[in-house]
Amino acid sequence: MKRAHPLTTTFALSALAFLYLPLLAVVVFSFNSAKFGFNWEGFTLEWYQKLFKNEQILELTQNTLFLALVSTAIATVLGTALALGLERYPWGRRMRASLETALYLPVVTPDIILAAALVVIFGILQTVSSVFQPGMLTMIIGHVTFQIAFVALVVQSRLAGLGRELEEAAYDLYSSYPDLLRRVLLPLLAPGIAAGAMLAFTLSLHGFIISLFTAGPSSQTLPLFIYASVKRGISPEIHALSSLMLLATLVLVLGSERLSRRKA
Amino acid sequence: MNATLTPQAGLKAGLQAGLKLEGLQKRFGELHAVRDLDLEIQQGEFFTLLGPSGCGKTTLLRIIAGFELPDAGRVHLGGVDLTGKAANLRPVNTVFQSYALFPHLSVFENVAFGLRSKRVPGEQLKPRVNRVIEMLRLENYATRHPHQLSGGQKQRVAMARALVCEPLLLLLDEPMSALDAKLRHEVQLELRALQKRLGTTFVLVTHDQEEALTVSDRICVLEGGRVQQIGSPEEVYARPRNRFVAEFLGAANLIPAHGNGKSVHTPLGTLELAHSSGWSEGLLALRAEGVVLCPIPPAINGVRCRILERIYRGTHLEVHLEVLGGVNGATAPDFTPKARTAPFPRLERGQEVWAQLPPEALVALEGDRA
Repeated sequence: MKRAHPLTTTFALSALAFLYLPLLAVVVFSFNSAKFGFNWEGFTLEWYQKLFKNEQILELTQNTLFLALVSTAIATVLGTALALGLERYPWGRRMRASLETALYLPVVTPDIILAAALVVIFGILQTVSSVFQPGMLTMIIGHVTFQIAFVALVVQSRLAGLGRELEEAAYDLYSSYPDLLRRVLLPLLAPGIAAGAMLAFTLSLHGFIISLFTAGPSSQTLPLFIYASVKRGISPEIHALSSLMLLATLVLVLGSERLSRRKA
Repeated sequence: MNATLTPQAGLKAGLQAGLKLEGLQKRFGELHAVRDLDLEIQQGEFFTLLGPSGCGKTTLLRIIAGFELPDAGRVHLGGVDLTGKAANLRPVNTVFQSYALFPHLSVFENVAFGLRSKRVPGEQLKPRVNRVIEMLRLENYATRHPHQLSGGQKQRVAMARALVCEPLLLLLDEPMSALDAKLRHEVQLELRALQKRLGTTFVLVTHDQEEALTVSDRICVLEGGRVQQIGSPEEVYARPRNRFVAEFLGAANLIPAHGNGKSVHTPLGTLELAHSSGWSEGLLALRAEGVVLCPIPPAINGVRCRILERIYRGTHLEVHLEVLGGVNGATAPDFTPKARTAPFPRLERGQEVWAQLPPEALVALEGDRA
């Protein structure tokens, strides 16, 4: 193998350090026994213990997980259906191109704009029904709106790689469409669907801006809590909480990556 | 599956399982893939659609399978109109070019797929699947997955998966194209034997004329979405109807001629034919192996030649000839006949020989002129 110039290596390593040092600092300080400031005073698990005893945090964790699980479940079903429709319906060439753009748009739209739009929509819907008061329902709807596109993109790419011949073979062997979905498409798309779902779950877990705009007083989540706490001053407990969320994210992203790379 | 016609039900009802295509048309934008196509295939026949890529043969197969809807025309099978029926309601199964085996299912489950779709109960399904698996010598691979199989084994699984459904009609879309040459020949012979044993109507699509000649009862040569000629391998090979069929089936020599009757004028002189030409101006086809090389002047249709090129091909010798003098001393034309003989060592480049163009080997082609 050709060796890289030392400068290239240096640049690459500095970029990685730039990305990961702040995260690493949070993890390191979560084990620091000093209550204030940035002096290292010894290793401790005290903050983690305190965290697990903190009932407010446990409730927030419950909220966060509930939100992530429900919104991911909904977004996975809708996103998969969207991918199937986009990829398999005989659209014209132009229609397909614009639909694909429409799918990418939510991915690149700033969250704050989506959040503001949701506030407006829910504001209007509140005049119709009080279920659209800020709370868990509005948060779930909000999260689903940005998750769908991610699930659909992951599933669509897998579907495109699958080709149509297997579906024709299934039809040729007397399958109905539900049969085809159950026996051929879903098993073959499963890794893609799971990868999309894990990605959506991760996004929901730290979806902050949408949560901030759609949450009600009783539906606070961990990212919202961290934000509020940091405004009051950084405590080692927050470091511990952030580290745990980082770990959860890492596991999910690695899992998603492995699944989406798996061969059909 | 009350809407489909099983072979048993069809035969009990005394129906003809033959396939009848009437006035089929299919366009893809500018491309006219199938035009005014009429075709009748008998029950139990091994029928081949032969043609170059883009001739419409695959489109035709897809129309029969139900993957494409024709713009006009009808598809009848066993006396039932299938034209508007979806692929999963037709008693027709397909062996796909790339086999399209389900990668997540074992060989057994791949073969069982169609029966499971039809909700065949387990106690009937197992013996039926195993019988077909044995018939195609796959019993040692039943638990394997497609990625663990060789090309030939995959092809047999694709055959088994289609045949277990006992279709009225089996469609084969270039099923041998992914196999190497030696295996392909073996599989061709097996395929033919299998078809004769089962008596199922097979419709094969191929661009390989040798394959078509080897396996078929009848061949339909297609070009430009139209039927060019239908006939037994012997008829299509020895008596091509037009220039396209002659060239596609490898007739090496096309000789322009004029004169109606059994004796026509050509640049090689006046040639005697076995059958009347039927036109006043047209083309004669002559296969390379139809040319007879001899050391002395032949009694009829003899042309004096010199050997330009002598190519050793193992099974035969390919000889390119320069004409020195036409029949009965006609002047030498600018024409290089090609001949094919047994690997005959006495032929050398530059040697002078007589070439006989036997009347029965000269075929007057229909309709077009050089």
